[in-house]
Amino acid sequence: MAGYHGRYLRVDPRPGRLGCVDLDEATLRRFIGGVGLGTWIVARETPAGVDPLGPDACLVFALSPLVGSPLTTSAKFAVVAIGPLTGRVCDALCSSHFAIAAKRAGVDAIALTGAFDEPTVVYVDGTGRETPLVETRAAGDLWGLPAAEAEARIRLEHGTAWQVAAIGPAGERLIPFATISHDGRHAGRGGLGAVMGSKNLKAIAVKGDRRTPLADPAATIALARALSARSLGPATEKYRELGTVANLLAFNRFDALPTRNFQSGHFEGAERLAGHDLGPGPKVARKSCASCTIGCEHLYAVEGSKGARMEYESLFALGPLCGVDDPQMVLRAAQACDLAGLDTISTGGTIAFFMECGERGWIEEDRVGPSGRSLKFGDGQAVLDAIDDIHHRRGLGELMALGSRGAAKWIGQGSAAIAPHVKGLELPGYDPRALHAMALGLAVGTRGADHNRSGAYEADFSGRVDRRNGGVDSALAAIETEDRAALIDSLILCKFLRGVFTDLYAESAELLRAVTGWDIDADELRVAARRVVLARKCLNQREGWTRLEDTLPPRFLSDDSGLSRGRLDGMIAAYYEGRGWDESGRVPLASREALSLDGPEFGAGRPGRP
Amino acid sequence: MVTIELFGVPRLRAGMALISLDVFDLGSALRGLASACPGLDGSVVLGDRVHPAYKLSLNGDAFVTEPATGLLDGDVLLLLAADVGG
Repeated sequence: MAGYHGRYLRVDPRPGRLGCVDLDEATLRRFIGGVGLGTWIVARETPAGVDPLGPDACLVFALSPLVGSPLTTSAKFAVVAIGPLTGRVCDALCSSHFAIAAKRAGVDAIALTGAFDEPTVVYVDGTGRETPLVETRAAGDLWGLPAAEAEARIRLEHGTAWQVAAIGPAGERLIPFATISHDGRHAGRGGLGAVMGSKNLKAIAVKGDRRTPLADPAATIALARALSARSLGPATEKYRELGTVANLLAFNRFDALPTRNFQSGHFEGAERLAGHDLGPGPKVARKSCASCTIGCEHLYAVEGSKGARMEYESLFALGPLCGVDDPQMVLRAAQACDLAGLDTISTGGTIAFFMECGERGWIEEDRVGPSGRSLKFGDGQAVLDAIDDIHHRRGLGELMALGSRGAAKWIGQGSAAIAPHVKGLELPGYDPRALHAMALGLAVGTRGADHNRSGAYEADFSGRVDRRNGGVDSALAAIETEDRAALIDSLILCKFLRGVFTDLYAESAELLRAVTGWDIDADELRVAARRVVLARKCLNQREGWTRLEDTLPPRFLSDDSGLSRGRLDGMIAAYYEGRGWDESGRVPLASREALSLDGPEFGAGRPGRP
Repeated sequence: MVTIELFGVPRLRAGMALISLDVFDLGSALRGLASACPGLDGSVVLGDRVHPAYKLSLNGDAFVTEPATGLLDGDVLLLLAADVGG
């Protein structure tokens, strides 16, 4: 089968569970790869009502038909599970050589189930074998190390042919916003690192030499050349020249830069944070993922180190959201999160929430770190101390390690109204009061408050909708961007390419035809994209989703803010109608059947479910 | 006077954060910008329009494209990448 191996590998220490599972062509064509395929495997491998950190939970590393092809930005993998922060489906993407090596191991996905008795590293080797060899070794003193260091040690000891995805100390300590990391990049959101930690799995190493054939190599190469050429044009210049940190000042100007736990959409210290050619510090390097021609990663100078990666989301969350305008402190905080293996958005969101709770007198003890520093907005050192406390689960860090939703339950006193999350996932750097289509996207997102599965902010910034008067148009735009994201994340390609496509569906179909040989067209891909969105929704329904979850924190919903509860509910109703769901947001059986999602793995036929 | 505020690559290329011009429509504003900031001419600004990879917001509200769009004294144009977010 061109583009695919037609199977996934299940790794499970329990007797009789290890082995390859066939994937038929019809399933692959329906779910494509990446988040689509990963969602399908999680639904199949995970019993309903599973404890995300229990042995029955399944953590999937899903590849795609484009991985290993010469197409730019195609070296990506998706990680999918039921997330510990939300209890709902969670998928996160990561890039680079791990994706290529995992596919060369001879599988389209690796599903991890069960749990090891002791800290372990799993090695999957497809070199010279029809079926990959799976070996496990005790993690030993790798346990406790930052992910990057563990990765380097494994490759030093066993050879650089191995590519490694690993967790840091936060994942080991089951912090529900821990990341999985490869080559310094993170599958960051939703706590997938904790799922891996719950399996006592420090790292998974992969290698192999099994390539999937391209159905039409000449056409694939021609398309790859054309796409690479377009990827070097003006549509991606922002990422190449400045990186995503370029968003900071623009968002601030549109009052969309979340500041001091979303008390404001404007940060007076933004210019200071962007004082070095619009970045937070002098640049020391620019990097690219494997197979990428864009090169969006910018590293900035940090005292005492080789430099720190910085993205807009980390910058906003550890800077303005916490009231910090010292670029060096923000860079150090991002670096500390990387070392611990913590999602910067949830970390910053949770710390900012505690800062406001302290300001309001809702927590008796707001001291963090060895010197007992008070956790106040604007204090960069306090942010650093808080990060250290969180990943050690020490002092106030034990409570902060629950995330803002979990902590609000303990703090009480109305703090739930200002806890910056949807479904438990902390909000990204888009103030919903200034961006109403995005407000809807955040509210209905299956992963929780999410800027990658919903790109509805594109509509807000396009002029196609009124960003401060959201309505039916905003709902339709949110649907459109969700579907597009589902396709891109299933192919998988980098979203930074989105501006170079004139017709994403038609051009993606052309890529898939060349790689797989399928007679697939744009219409079939539109259906596939909707199926992926719906699959995640059905999986959430299976896990207990209710209409009450599709909302925003009360702080955002007021007549004064322009985003009243009535306006949001109106957009949600229009969104449900546009999706063909009922008024309570549930998916009718006919919709499931139309997209082949009517099996028990997606909850169909369960009591109380259509 | 009309002010044009620059964000991202336009600001980097122009080497300035904003410029004020005595103009009355969008096309004139863009020609004035290109004249004052040659680094933008032909890449960000194409005659009396911006390259499709960029966009202009009028006072942070509507997004504008037509050169004939009238501007009033005190208006602010925000020039930024079309691919916002990420």
